[in-house]
Amino acid sequence: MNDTLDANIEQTLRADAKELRAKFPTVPGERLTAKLAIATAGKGLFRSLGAKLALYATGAAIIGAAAYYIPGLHSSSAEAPSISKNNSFSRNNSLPAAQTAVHEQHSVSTALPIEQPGETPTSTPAVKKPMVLDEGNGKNVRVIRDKHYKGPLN
Amino acid sequence: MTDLERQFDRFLAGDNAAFAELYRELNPRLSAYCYKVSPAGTDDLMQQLWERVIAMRDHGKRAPIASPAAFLFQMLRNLQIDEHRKTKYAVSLEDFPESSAAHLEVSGESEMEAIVLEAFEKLEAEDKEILVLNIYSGYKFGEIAEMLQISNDAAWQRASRARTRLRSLVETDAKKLGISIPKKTRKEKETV
Repeated sequence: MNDTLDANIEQTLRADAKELRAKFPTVPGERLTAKLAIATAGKGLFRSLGAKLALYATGAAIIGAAAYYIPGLHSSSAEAPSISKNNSFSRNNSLPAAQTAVHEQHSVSTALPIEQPGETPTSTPAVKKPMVLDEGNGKNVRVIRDKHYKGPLN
Repeated sequence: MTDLERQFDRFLAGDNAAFAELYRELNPRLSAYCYKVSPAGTDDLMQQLWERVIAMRDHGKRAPIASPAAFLFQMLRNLQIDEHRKTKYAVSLEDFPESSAAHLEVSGESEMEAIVLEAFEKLEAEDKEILVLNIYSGYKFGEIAEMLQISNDAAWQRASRARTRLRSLVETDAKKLGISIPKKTRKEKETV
């Protein structure tokens, strides 16, 4: 026996290790492969969606900025068509524009009492005050805001 | 930059072929470590480890990993600790003394080989870990030092102490069973 104990131990352990390592797979299993595929596909999907979203957002921002800053685009839709001002007839014609006289007439109705200077009308109060329901005992004081309220029948 | 580091970088960049290479290189080694340290949940732990590695891709930019083997080893170790905490109060069949006796009888090794393997299992966790990484996983002491975050000298000394303890256990067991221990050759005696 030339082998020492140490060498014997080392040899035994190395042989066991070789045998043990051979039992474990060197290729990923189905579950891991699927996980890897999902991770890769998911990342690619998010990347492509992100790129599309960024593209659309940029496009929308450019169009929005153009609509805001170009005055022609901004005001054309807001103003009324200017046919009466800039048409060929009004520009070439030296005649002044026809003016219509407006007559104001103040008529006083005979059914109403004669208006006295300095007198304030009483029929149209400036501020509507809500109706106050006071039963006298000071407890049931309520403000009625319903303008159609007519009070109890008795 | 080592091949493994390049493969890991390629994998993180989205190369699935690099993942296959990493798996082929690291799975048997790390599985051997996992099996020797906690044999019950090796498959589950390794599955969890690789799933975490795959999930690393989604985490975006991160600091470069200096040693992928050491990094994965640390991840595996953490998973083992978590698993150990979960199953702290569970009693496995391996805890029964019959299983060790069965190992001696059933396996096809010689008596001496059986004694060595049994003695190896009796080693303390720290001694066992360094010998498993060296012998079963095939890592050099420099790599082991990185994995265990100790100096090269410390790794070498720890391994040396573990071998001494293993030898002593083997001698004791062999004596109990009446098996003769191989003697040192004259040449080896002179060198000592």
